[in-house]
Amino acid sequence: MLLSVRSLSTRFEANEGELWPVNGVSFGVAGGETLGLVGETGSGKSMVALSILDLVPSPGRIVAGEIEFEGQDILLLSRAEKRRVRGGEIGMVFQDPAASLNPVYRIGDQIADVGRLHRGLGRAEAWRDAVHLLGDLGLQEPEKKARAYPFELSGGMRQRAQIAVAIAGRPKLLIADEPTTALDATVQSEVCDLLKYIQGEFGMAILLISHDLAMVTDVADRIMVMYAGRIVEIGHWTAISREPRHPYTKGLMAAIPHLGAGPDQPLGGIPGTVPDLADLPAGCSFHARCPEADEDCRAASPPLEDVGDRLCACYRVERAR
Amino acid sequence: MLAHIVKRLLLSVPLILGIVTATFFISHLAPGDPVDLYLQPHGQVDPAVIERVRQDRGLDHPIHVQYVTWLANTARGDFGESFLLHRPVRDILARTVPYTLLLILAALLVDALLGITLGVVSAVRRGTRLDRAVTLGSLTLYAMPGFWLALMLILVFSVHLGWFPTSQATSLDYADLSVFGKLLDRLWHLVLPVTVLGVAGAAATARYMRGRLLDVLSEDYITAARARGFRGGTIVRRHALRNAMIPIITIYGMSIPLMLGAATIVETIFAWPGMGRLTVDAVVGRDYPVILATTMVAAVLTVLGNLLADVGYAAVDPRVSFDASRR
Amino acid sequence: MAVGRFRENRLALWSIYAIAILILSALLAPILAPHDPVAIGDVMATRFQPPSWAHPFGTDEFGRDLFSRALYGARISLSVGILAMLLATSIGSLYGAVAGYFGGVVDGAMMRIVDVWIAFPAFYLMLLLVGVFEASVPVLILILALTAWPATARFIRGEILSLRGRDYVEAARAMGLPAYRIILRHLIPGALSPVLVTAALTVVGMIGAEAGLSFLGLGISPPTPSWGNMVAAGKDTLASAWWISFFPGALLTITLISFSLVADGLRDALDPKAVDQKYV
Repeated sequence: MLLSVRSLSTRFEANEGELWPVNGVSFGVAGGETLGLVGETGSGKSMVALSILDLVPSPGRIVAGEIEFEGQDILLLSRAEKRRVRGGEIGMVFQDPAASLNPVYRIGDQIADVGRLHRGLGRAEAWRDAVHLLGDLGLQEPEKKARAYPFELSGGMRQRAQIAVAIAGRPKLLIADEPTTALDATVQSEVCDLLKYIQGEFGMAILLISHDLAMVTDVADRIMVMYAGRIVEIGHWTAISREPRHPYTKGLMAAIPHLGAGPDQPLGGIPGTVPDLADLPAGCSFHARCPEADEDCRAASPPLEDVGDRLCACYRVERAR
Repeated sequence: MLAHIVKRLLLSVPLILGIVTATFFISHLAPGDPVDLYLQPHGQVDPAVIERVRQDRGLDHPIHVQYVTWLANTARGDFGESFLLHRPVRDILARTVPYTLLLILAALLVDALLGITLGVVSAVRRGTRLDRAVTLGSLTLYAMPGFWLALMLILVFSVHLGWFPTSQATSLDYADLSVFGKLLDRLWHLVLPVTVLGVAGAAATARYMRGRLLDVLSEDYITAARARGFRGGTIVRRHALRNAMIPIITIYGMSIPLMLGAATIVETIFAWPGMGRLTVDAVVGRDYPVILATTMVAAVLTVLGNLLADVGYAAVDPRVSFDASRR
Repeated sequence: MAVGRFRENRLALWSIYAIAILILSALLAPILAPHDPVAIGDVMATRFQPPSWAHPFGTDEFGRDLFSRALYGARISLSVGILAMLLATSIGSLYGAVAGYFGGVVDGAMMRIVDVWIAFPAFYLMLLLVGVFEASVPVLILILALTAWPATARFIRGEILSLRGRDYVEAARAMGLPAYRIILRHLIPGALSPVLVTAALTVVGMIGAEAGLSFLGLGISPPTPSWGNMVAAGKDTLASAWWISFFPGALLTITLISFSLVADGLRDALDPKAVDQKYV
């Protein structure tokens, strides 16, 4: 495993009490594979991404767990070592390229800065690499685009530029947090194709985070479904697509035809909405919306267990013998 | 860019004209005859003389004729003659305005260096004792009346410590000093007045800078920069500061009229031979030609300040472009 | 909510107390003042006395009790500042509201006037006006207000523009309410928070400007005490009698800081977003 996350918990202390956006999450990403992390808004998936880089914003804090990257726990690294990992070993693409690119610097400079920082490139060399990356990621006239400011590019072009920034340090893992959500539907598939291309070209592992199951399955080898801070099902897409086991995953699958459904919309097959993280029900967080829930589900939270061809956290699913 | 500057300059012409016109008519609302005021120091004057002076100055014409004449003269750079000093106002301005500009530019420098530094430190160390000290200190200095601060500085640094001179722009023996000595002498005289002017501005800048930087530091592109592995210091300096500074430039342009106002008092206290003290003396002595002229210079400087701020803004913010073809 | 947030801001709360004490002392000056503020007695025996129990702020060059003069000075400085603020805020809010409500050509014309006015270096305008007109107290208030209202007008206009599209304003218009009633009954009360914040800031500017003018000898003239002219009275004897300038200036500073802190507190209390940003 390139990345192994074990029992990761991230806590926020707010006026309303404690929140656990990430609550005992464990998973691994192998070199060169694409793992899709699916969940609704507020399920804690973005916080998983920020936790991996140890960038949880205050007042949040990682309170438990290990994040092992190439055999070393990121959380135990020194500040300088963490900075080497951020951008150098693990690149990150954010949801809204308009907000995550600095408005007052040229695209090329923002890409070149990362190359200089993590690959020790010289000024000219880093600039050439930036132009090359932009061209490689399918931008026409890359020299001109490198000299442009973010506001001068379209949304799709900006997202390509942001991806170029994220891979300019040639990381081994790319985390893409809702990379298509802020984009037009037509551009979304282009970005998906781009992610697949990057994987082939640079051999990077990708952790693809989205609320859009259809989009994720287009790119990912394995799927991980998250609900209210916990992982409820994780396994190969071939297995899950054939037969989803967790009731929540079933609901997500049922909603697939509704392509382009917004992250805040209730899912097609599932009544109700994601519970407030500050006010989670006792037992399984999903029981209130679950058609199969019974007394056990209300009493205790089901652990993530091996159910044969995957892991699943549900009392209604028979575990593997 | 150039076209835009020219356009802005042309647009500011009616603005300045409006101010100048208002100034002219306000000053003619004054009770009492300017000729009486002009001749007052000479005691009883022959009515024939008064009439001749009146004709000489065009004061026997109706006010709108006087206005047009005055406007035409002003446009040619002829501001008339001072009632008090009996010299052309233009010559007086040429001697005083540079001193005021020197004072204000030096104060703006202090304002920028001190204000931005304190604002950044305060924002980066938010919530610490240092931040609270800077915040409260800048509020105090900002609210403190300049004339009182000036007197207190004089009390401590001139009267008790004897470090700095209390008045004038140069020492009495200035002419005998070497070139280096002259420079030093000028700087030495600048310290206290510039401190008074600059510190209040710095306090305002620090407060504003702190707020802006905190806003910028919560932007997504700062989180993104951290995710790319940049150092905290680099992020503040390279990724946040430029964004936070952009609006400061506008604030700077707007601070010119405030500085000019404060300079009148500071110049009066420190006997600084600038335009501000000249204006105060002119107001006390009802020297209307001088009042009109200095008000106009102040208005022009204000408008120029705004223009410079505009140009500066466009220079640092790529999103603002004067030249449509650049896109 | 807003009141609660304001109360949580200890600095702003202390400032309110400080202002209350200052206003109360000013009102009760005839009772509180141990001596006559203007009468001059045996000058040679009483002048230039440093602060003592008998004269907490010392005495001036004419032997007058500076504590008593400071109390009476507070009356002038505070009343001129507050009245000028009330006048400027009323004119500015009304003007801004009318411009914002009608919009279009009316707004354009009204705001051009404001533009010219604001481009006028304010203190120069004040100097010009006090030079032209004899500066009695009412005239001084008028002059101060005259220079301050455009800033308020511009700010309030912006607020009104954003309020104009609100449902309750649309509803009032649909009911056929006359413009003046919509402006007075709905728009200005709707913009009350920004009006309050600007008012607090305007007080700071007005008290400061009056003090500055009086310091230059162009505002309130002696023997009537104002903090500004009291500071000026001591400037030539700074080396031998620092207290003459020190105390009135210190009171002035405390007053200005207090009003600034109140303005800050009001802004934070009325704009929850700002507070959230501060603490999150």
